[in-house]
Amino acid sequence: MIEIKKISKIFHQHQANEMVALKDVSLSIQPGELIILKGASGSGKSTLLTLIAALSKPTKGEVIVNEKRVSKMPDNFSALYRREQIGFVFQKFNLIPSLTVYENVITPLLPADIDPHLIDEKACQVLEQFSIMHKKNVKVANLSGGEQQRVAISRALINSPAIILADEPTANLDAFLTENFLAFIQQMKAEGRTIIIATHDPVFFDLDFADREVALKNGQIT
Amino acid sequence: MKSNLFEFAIHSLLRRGAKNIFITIIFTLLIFVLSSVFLITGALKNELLGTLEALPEVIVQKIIAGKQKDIEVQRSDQILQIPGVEDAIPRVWGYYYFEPQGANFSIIGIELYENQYKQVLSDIAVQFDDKLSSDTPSMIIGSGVYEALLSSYYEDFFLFVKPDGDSKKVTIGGVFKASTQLESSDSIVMSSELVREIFDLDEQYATDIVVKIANPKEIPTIALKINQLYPDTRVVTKDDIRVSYQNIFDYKSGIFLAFFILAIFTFFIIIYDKASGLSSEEKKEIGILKAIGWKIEDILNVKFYEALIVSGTAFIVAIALSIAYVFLLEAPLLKDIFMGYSILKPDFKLPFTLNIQILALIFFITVPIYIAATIIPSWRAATLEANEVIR
Amino acid sequence: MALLSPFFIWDSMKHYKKSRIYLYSLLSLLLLLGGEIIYLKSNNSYDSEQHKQRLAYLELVALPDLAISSETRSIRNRSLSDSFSIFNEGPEIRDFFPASFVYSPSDILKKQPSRITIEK
Repeated sequence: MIEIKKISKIFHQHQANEMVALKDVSLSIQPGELIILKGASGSGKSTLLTLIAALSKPTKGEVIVNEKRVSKMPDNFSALYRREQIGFVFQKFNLIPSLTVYENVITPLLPADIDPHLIDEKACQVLEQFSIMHKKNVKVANLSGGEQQRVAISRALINSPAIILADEPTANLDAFLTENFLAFIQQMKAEGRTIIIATHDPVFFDLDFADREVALKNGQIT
Repeated sequence: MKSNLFEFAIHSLLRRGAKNIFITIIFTLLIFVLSSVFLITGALKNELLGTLEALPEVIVQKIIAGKQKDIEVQRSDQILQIPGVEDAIPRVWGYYYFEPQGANFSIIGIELYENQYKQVLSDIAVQFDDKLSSDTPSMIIGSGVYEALLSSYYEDFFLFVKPDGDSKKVTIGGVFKASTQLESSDSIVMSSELVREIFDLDEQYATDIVVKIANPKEIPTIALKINQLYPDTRVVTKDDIRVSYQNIFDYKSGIFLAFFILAIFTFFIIIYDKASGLSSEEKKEIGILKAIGWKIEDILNVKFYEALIVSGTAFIVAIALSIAYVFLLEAPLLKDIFMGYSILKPDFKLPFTLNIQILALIFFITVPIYIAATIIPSWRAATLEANEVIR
Repeated sequence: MALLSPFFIWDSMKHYKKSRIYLYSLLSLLLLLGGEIIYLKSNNSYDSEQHKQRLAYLELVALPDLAISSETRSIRNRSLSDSFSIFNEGPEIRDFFPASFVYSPSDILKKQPSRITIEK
């Protein structure tokens, strides 16, 4: 259960380049829902996702996930929260270029001191699922955009998170891979995960298995 | 130890392999030079302090206007009267300049004909034959002197030039054993009469007076009494010598200052480079790790392992190398700094001594500082909001 | 208990290839260092016979300081030297390089008469 209560996010507050990304946004998301955040770039979709993932703190308001105030969590707790509950697929992938596919995918699991067998198992499972297993030992910097996307998705899912956040996930995918992605989202929905996708790709609009569409414009819900 | 993170740390080091190997090598070199210098000085000091017990309790010198002058022999009789004094022996010794090699020999006179010395000499010197008889003037020389004389074609004897221009032929009766080299290499021991003849020293005078005192606790009192008796003298006690041994190396000046400044300078260049912040690539990596759920402490753990691996490895390698360099290879190049241009160099085999305190000192002024310099900028980057870094 | 069995540890170590290599190298290095120290301690330290000979020589000769730097009289018998021998060539010039660079003049020089007297 995700509760967003009157969130405002202002960048460079009180400075010449002050920018209001979100203004008084309130939203309630039930567990297992698939929410599509629509809006042009600059509308605040990405910012909203980062606030839900506790990657930054709101200027005003709060975010409550499963009765925990994630917007007010100290750094270490928010990191743990992200590790255990969130799978984030970033718009720019945010992979570590000098690491291989395999190494990037297992990075979220390393601090938890999990048995390396288990890590290996999970990694192989998720790499197979996204058909990137054959490039396991290739450095990420040497992959195409679509391949990097799949690695980013694999990394986001390795921990089997309850909440999946995706920021423009199909930006670099062709039609075939987009279809694959949609199928995967449907499967995740069927598994009961909460999914929030920020996108302006029309393929996500009017999806029959999506629960809601929320439109954002200039930092506010319309 | 978090094994996953340790593996990640090694991998991270290898990803920036060239730079890290370079830093490790410089670090190793630095610690190597520092510890070699300390090992040599430590061994020399140990050598000195180890032989203190054999030295006389008190040596009395006459000092006029800051210069050492010959002391009246009859003063020894007066000194002998002081209660607690076992013996007061006037002694003659001095330096003889050997021009062909540009070396100073130390010539020390002893009363050769006393039986007690005969036994001692046979223990500590390799004697050519029993040439220590009163008819043939003879001397026992150190190995450095022997080599120097040989290279000037003096094999069995030497012709000393006296102050009046005449020469005095003295036979080489023996050479001091290798075990005494560090002390005897440049020395010549002969009878006091012979020394007086060679240096043209007045019978009434001696170079200094050696005082033997039975009870060590009485030394300060007796020293004071001698000083009161003869105010123009300097009384050097064994304790004074011990103190002078401990201060033999002034680490705040000279060659040590040069070494340390160089070492500190190099070290701080490395530290400055580390502490002045991470590259944008490294910052981004930290941001990504935070975004995918790494805590600040996990990131710092990795950085700590990285720094420990570099500095710890450098330290161990450097110490191993410097021990081998000083005690197995006898410190070529560095040795020359401590031995100077003396051609009467004793064979430098210093006994093995390991001063744990010095090693600990070197460890604590290098490794923790490097670790701190690595962790602090990473900590600064890790405390930024993850979003700031990855946007 | 199974978790502690050597087989399990070895098996899991298989995944930590780099850590393994590094730790084995470090261990070898430490063993080398240890071996070096043990070897030197047994071979290089003075045996008592040699030590006795040195002490016997010093008792005979009764002069302090080692026979290093014999080109400078102020360093050769530094514990007994006087201020004149240090500034041999003139009051502004200390003796020889590198000897006077490495060895500092004895403390005794600064204390005339003997420091024992001053302490009293």
